[in-house]
Amino acid sequence: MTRSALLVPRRCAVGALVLACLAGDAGLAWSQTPFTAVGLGAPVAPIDARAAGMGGTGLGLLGGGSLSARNPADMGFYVRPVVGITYSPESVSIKGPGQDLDTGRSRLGVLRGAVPFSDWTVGVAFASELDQDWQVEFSDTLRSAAGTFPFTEQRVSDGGVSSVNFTLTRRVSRVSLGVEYGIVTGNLRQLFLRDFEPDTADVGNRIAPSAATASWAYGGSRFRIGAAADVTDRIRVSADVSVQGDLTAERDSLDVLVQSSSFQMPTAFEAGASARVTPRILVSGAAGWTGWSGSEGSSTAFVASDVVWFGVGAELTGARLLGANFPLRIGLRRTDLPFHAPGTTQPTETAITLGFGLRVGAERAKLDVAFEFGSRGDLAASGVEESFQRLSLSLALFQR
Amino acid sequence: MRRILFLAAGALAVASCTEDSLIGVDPTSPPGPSSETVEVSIGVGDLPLWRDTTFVGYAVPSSSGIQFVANEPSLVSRVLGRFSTLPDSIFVDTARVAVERFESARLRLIVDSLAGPVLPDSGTELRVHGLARGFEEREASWTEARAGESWTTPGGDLADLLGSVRVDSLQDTLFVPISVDSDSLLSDWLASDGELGYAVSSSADGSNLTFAALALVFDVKPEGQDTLIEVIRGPQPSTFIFSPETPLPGEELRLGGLPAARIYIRFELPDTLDGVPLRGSRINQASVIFRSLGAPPDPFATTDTLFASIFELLADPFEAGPKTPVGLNVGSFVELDPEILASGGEQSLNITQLIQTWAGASADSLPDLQIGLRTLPEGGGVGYWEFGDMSDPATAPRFVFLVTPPTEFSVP
Repeated sequence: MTRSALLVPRRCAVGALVLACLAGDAGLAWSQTPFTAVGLGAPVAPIDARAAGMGGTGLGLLGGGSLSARNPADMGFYVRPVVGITYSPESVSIKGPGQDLDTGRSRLGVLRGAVPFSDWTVGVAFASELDQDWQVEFSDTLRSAAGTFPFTEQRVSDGGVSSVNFTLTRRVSRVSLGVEYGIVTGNLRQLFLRDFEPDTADVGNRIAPSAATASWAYGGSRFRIGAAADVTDRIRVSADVSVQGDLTAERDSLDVLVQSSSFQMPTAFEAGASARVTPRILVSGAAGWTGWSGSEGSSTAFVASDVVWFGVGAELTGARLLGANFPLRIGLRRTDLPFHAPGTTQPTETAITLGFGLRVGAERAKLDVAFEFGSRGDLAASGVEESFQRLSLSLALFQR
Repeated sequence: MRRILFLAAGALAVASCTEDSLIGVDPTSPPGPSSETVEVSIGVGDLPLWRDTTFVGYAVPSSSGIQFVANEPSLVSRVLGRFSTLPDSIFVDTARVAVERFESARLRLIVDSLAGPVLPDSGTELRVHGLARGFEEREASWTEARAGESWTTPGGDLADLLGSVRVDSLQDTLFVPISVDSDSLLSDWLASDGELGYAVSSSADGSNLTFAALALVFDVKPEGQDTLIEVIRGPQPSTFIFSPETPLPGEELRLGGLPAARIYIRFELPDTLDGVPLRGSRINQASVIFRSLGAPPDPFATTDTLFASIFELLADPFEAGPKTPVGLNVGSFVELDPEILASGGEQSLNITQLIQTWAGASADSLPDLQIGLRTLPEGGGVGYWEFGDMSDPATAPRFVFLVTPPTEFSVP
């Protein structure tokens, strides 16, 4: 018996749609890998566009109800029922050793509703947690005694982890206390498809394609408590802590469980504050720590590290557009990213942020827009690097 | 309620994130689960089971669809036949009228120009003789009129010359006029169901003519009428005899020839081959490769490109024998390249479809791996190819697989 293994890189992409002819350095094992494909995926901050425009803070923001899904206690400052949604498309350029590759992502970041009554507020929020969406396509050649077969290979990861969070807050004077129970859920579909062209020497010599799929279902839970307080009329502080059970990933085939994995999910702490330093200027800051380092479990495919993040921002109010309030925002944020390849340094993400808001319909609706310009990782140190431009759109409806 | 929430949240989760495809990444390090496509091979001597054999007789000259006359140093051939369906009455207008007499008759021969007819520069003479001894069409050979009954003269006991024609150049249609009394000859054939038949031969050395069709064309005079009506009748039966006769195969595996030979094999594959799982894997390509034993001796060596097909066998051929019921074809037709085979090269046969079915079947319903190989059309000529069997490791068949083992998915 003889065996030979024969995936020999052709190193030259085929087809009009292929963007680059890559002569990559094989030493960069994770080059041109999107961050959504690293570890458990890319964490998604559950913030609205207002918070995104102010450096990704979203904790203890004065000046209107927040649609972010960070501290449940922040909901205690709602005075009217509200429902809102945040959508965040972004364009991404993934750096490669030879040439950059452009792609794009879009996320439904937060979908939230809250109803205050008396000193209580109940709410529910859907939030994206881990983005695992990516798909790549490349070309290569299989050389064998049976022939030389160029092929195109597609690998798809479609899905991610999200949460549905039920919150309850109690307002006691200038203090709001909140609890939240979150159901962590989600699905992931993985696809591998290798489609061969005929033998380069004999078009009649064809071989069958290879394909495989897997479907995973995620499950878990999270408990979070928080507190927020208006220290003065011009200063609000907010902090929360959350603990999570393990995240289980179960793969089934025809409703039969065939594979299961579990990952320890992190405890997180975050705090923030905002202060109205002048009647027209609001400044905010927030920071947090997430203990991701225990999440890699027995996997040797990636390393998980604790994450520290912070953001600062400012909002200028008083401007008007078409007769409506038109707040302008600016901010800066930095966060560690939890997952990276073994032997590489932990990547970070930094961005400068801009934004504005618009209250319309006799202040019954609010549209917030944020722009973020930033980068993630470092090709030399982390093996992965992306630059991105993200647009966040939030629309909130208030019931009188 | 919790289930509904999970479903709703799952649906939102799926819809919440999307990403455009990255087209073009470094193929040495793409992310995501995959599985390498590898090539593995095994000789039939290493298989848990391999049995092979050659069965002959699936097409004989009388059923082969061809008939040829040859007069070459390495091959002589004559066409034999009987006109057993001559009419004793014919329709004239709307009435059936008895045949009063047979007028002029001639044999019409349509030459198969695609079969590579050979005519010496000096031309040849095609001759039609009556036979002095009857024959059995499925058993007739150059030496025997029927099984156990030899010709007095090998090549058929020729009686009177019935007609002949000089052929100086190749033509699509040849007519051999019957030079004896047509009414007498055809009346005899009518009365005896064509017995004892006729033989067509070629007189010149180096001639070889294959006929696509042969018929007797004659005029009849209906009883009580003055008009002549042309009637055409084909021979029934028709065959040809040739010398030398095809040798019986030995241990080697033979494909084609007359009588036509088929290769029947039965085998078992291991679940794992050199560490690569076959069962449960994606079989991208599976081939069984035969090694040719070179060109057979004249006149059985052929320079024509033949085609072959692989078909399933519905029973164990080593129990059911030559009459093993056959199933569907496996894969497409195979071209047998005479240059490669004459030089002792390899002939690869694609059996991917069969092995894919086997690899994907559950352990308690594994299909039997037994296939046959035949030429297309079967009995299209006297030429054949022979391949090594398992007795000689140097020329024994072997299998080559391109396999993609099951993808090991994981999260992440």
